[in-house]
Amino acid sequence: MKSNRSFSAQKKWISATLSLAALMFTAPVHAGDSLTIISPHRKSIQNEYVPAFTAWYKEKYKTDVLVDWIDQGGSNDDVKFIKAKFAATPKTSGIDIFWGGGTTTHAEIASAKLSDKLNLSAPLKKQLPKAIGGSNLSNDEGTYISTALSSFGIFYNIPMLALEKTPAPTTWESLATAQYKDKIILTDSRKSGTASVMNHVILESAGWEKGWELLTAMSGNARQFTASSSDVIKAVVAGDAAATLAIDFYALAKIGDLGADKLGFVLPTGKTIIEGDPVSILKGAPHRQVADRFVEYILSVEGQTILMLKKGDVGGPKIETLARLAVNSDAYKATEGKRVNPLNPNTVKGFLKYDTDKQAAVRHVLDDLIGTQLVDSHKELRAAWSKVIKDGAKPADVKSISKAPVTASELTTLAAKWDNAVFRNEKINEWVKFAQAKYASAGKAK
Amino acid sequence: MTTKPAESVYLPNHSLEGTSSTQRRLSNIMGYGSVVITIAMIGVFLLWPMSKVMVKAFYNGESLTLDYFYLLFDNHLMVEAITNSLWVALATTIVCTIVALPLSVIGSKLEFFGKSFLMGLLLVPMVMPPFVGAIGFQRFFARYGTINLFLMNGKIIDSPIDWLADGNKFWAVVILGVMHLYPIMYLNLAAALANVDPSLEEMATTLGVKKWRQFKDIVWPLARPGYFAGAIIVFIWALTDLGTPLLIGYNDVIPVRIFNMVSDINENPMGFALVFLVIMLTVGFFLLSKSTLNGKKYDMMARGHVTSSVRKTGLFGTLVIYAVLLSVIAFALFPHISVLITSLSHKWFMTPLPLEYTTEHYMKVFSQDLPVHGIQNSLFLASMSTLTDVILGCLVAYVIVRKLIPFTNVLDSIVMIPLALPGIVLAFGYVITFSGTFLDPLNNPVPLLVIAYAIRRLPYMVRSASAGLQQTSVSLEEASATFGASHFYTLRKITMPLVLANVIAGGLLCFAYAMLDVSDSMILAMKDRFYPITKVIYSLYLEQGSGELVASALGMISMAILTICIMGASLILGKKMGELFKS
Amino acid sequence: MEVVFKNVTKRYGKTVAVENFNLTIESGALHFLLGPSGCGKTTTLRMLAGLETVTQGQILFDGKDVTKSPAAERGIGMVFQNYALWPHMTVLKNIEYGLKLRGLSKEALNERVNEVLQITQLVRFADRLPGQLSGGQQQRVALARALAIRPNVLLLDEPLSNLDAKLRHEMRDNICRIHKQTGITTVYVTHDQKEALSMGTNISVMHSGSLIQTAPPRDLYNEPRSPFVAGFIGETNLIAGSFAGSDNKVVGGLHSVNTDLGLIQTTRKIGHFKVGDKVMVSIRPEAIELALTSTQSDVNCYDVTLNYLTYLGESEQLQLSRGDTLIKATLFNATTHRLTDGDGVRIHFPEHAALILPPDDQLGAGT
Repeated sequence: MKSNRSFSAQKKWISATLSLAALMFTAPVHAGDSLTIISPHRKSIQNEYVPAFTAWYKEKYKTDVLVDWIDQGGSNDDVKFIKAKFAATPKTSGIDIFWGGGTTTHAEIASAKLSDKLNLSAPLKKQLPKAIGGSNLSNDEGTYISTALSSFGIFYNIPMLALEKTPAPTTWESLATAQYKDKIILTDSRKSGTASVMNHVILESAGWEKGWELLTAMSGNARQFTASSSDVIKAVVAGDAAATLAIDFYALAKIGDLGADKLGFVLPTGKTIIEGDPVSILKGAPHRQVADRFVEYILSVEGQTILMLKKGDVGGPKIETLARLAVNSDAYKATEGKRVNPLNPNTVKGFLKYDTDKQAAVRHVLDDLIGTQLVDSHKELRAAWSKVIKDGAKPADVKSISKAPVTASELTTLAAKWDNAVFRNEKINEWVKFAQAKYASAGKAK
Repeated sequence: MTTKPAESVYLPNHSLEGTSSTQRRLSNIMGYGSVVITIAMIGVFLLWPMSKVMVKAFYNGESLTLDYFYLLFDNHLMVEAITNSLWVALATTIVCTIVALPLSVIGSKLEFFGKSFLMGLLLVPMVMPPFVGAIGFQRFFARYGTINLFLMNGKIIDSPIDWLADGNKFWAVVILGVMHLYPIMYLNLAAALANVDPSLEEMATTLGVKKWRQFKDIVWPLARPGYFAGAIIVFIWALTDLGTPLLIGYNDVIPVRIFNMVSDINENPMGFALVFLVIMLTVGFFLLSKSTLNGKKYDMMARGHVTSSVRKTGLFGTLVIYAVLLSVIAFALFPHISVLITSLSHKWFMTPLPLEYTTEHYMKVFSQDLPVHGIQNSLFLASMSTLTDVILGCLVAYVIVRKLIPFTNVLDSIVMIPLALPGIVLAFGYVITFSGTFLDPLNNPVPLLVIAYAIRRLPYMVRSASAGLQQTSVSLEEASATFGASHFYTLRKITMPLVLANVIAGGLLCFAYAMLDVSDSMILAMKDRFYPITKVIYSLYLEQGSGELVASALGMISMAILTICIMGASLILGKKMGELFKS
Repeated sequence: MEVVFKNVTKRYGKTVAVENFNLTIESGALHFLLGPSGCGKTTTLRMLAGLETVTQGQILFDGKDVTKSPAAERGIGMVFQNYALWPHMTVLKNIEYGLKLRGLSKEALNERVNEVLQITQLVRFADRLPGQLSGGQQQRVALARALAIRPNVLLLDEPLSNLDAKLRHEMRDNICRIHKQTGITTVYVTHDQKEALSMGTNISVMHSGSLIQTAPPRDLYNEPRSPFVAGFIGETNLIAGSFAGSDNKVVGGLHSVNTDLGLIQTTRKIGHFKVGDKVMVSIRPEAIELALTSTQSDVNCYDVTLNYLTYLGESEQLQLSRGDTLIKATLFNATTHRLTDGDGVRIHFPEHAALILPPDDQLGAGT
């Protein structure tokens, strides 16, 4: 009869729905230890470290460990993501480790109190210097420690500069000259920790006023501000921009791929820094012990040599050469003569001393300041800069369009109130007006 | 009449035999239950997570404030961005119309060899794999990109042309927008034109009215509702599109400003105030277009058979049509072609085209687990979300069109919101809302991904299903009711089969856009094994060395899969594709 | 099944579609709802079907209140004006639909389907899709589909309006035959008075949302209760005038009305009037004859002018006038005269042929 038929049909539907739901909602069960890492590191790092750590763990602790590797896009997205997780469940994010993304990222996590103090073993501590190339490896609270190093420089397209009859850049000032008009590309520091650090480095190395002149001229030369520090590399390779600011290993990878006759990378001597790329253990890490062991591993000589050696070397990477700089002093000793990047930052001088905490303290204000003056008003700045160049880039004109609405010391005062979003946006509006007025009157100060 | 009546004595049944009211009640409970569940789902998976994020537009720390809205309009750059965005949207809509009008006349009035294939191909530019599109585009329009180098090698120009100079950016955004939005406009216009009774034109011809006047005075007023329905989608899309201006580097538009503030490392709540404004604008434009539509809907009386108006073209006409269609297609597929070249290039550097080609990047895609899993995941997720969309979308459309609940306009507006909502708002809303619950994406993002994909694509399904429902006479459903069928039995047995074409067409769009979803995939699919294709493309794209080339290869593979789906569906559905998007 | 409307009112917002509708439809009747478009007849039918809600009042099926029951629970069969055949189902599937909902066994279902296919002479079309059928065939499918479930009440909403004249006549016969065969209480909505007069057991005339009169076809034609009904059912001359009194010495009473035509005397009136009351007099065109011989009395004799004449073979239609008053007359066997347009004519009608009616603005009170 009808009722039977429809009933069996309903049953079929229900069972299908249930089995589908079961398929969707069941998470795989794992018997051994587990660890959840969030990391903006490239897949190549994941591909090397996850199997290596798992093998090391098995050997040392006689247990399997399942590593879950999470990536939300970039360091910024990852920070936002863990913040969202903590907003939902304040005790834990469900994630153990935040690895990579640069010092600013970890300073951000530390200042939001989303990480716990690290427990490093005494023997390991002995192998780690306090600072390398003027930068501290760790913050005072000890919630993060650098596991790799990177340097900042200028990446450029050699044939394109030749076609444009422009000399290769040597330092930040090169990019601020009129010759580089429309030939460089930059990244918005509000979205990229790398760009934020570089802005800070330039302001630190040249001083506040001179630094602003440099940044303003460079932005005036820039074709565009991208959202990510990897996009600028691609623009240089594609022949859209002749030069950009870049992290060493990005640039070196491209040079390795296409050849040193086509692409170049230069570290402005005495005007750049070595920055650490740290690891943090997040607050309420669900697998704290495993997390400690992971940090111990990646800082160990065994873990560190993977960064520096060539693919296939004993103790080196298995799949792809990483060409990064390590922090462990013993790792340098162990790889002497075999490193991909021969630089030893422990011995090389000429890096600026860099105070990460100071940068982190004013970072948000500075990013917004640069955002309003250079990025959001980019169109107006470019027009003003063109006018100034046409008049021969007179120092007075350059000074006038490079004026910052606040002084360096005011940044610190403002930083204290920056969490007040209404205050922050009132300031932003004020600065936008300042920038608009400044650029509108460009060239008129004769 | 000749035959003699049947001899059986026919006695009416005084009791309501058979149609047990318990069964009908059960069906009604299940039906209304599913409507309640649908509306609850929109509440739980759209409004609730959205509001969790959107409240930031009204809070300064702990205290309520409306200051952001004042500050928004106090900022010269924001006001400029709003104006620019409206102009971009308007210009895109107009140019789309200009491009789509001749195409739809061809599609609805002419018949020629290979028509359904070409018309299907016209729809392909609708989809573009994310991230890698930018690479191909940059390769071509860079200062020393393909075009400039080509011109310079040919001694046509001495120094490179800055294609994307400040003054060109507005039109670059418009043209690029038109290149992927015209299919939507074309679908609507073609359907609208096909629905105009050809006898009306014939009538006009007998009165000696000239062709263009016929079009202006008779065809256009009747086709206008369909046009407006397409125009409003194009307008809203162009107004809220982030990808295109970001690609061009045109920062003075609302979506980029929102992106800047929301993706700021130190997130700026002003961004959410701006999102709120965009949602209001979208709902406003939608309701406006809806009310204009309702006011201007002319019912077509007794419609003749449409096929009679389709004219077969001669050889010359066919050649002209081929020339027009192929050039439009080639132009619109330009970004795709550039990605294809990139994906096959080997050590391409500062030459118009690669000097060497290789399939190595494609090999790499298939030799790794991640891309293969990504394709599998995306196919599964997109299928499941499309299924969800079909169920949710049809129920919502049914409720709206048949006015089963009060305030259907409110519901109709709410389901349009995903069109205006930046992807990251909803995705972060999910993370905040469902962390620590059984839906926590950290454990298993599959259910949330399916729902997120479905919710974001819901507007297309609702629009296309309601277009179908509006064209289906209510009396067909009433007839079913008189036989003792419940509302929802009728929906299943009578209504759904009748709107199947619309549902499949809507489903196709949902599927295609779900396959290429970015925001939800990036944020909700956290672990490798759950990565959809787009997130794999992104992670390959970031890889050092030639990562972006492998990413381009994967992008082309996903494009190929989608092209097969679109072409297949358009061949099957033919003209009915165009009944999408009617509001 | 007996169907009763009790004070049924339907409003859409402020617009009244049907007002205070009271009607009893006898079991087994072929009952017509007749009226011009927009009079509320379809709304009434749809309320009966349960497709429209009732604002006020009750609908009873055999004494059982079904006002709140949805269409699905009323056991009705309905034929829609546009037939509403499901285009994706064959004729057979269309007909089976309602039966399947009733969970009939395979044999019972087949038996029923064959039965209605035979009644409606559709056997050889069973496997066609509606789109492949002619208008008349579609109409029969709609009827078959409605009949298959053996409804308590069969509702027909202008079922013949989409058919040409010849098919219409054929289908009228069909419906009458099927009604006789099945004996189902049938409610039939139409605006075509000929359909109603020729088929109905009872006719309800509606106007502006109100029921004006319910009567069998003959009574409705001969004894309309209002000028509207008189005018809507068949043709009539409606002449305005004022009541001039009754002569009760004559058996049954002889009533006089002063009109522009002159004094009209008649034995028939609907309602009670005082001298001077405004009234309407209805005279059917076929009741008017030419007063050719002087032997007839002067009562109801008038001198008029012939405006024009239309010759129709078995009859002639005359349009006459006296001042502003226009008179239509239909003459049968009128071969004896030789009138031309513009001639003066003397006309006459019998005293029982005129009917005094209250004017239409007094409607409602009387019904």
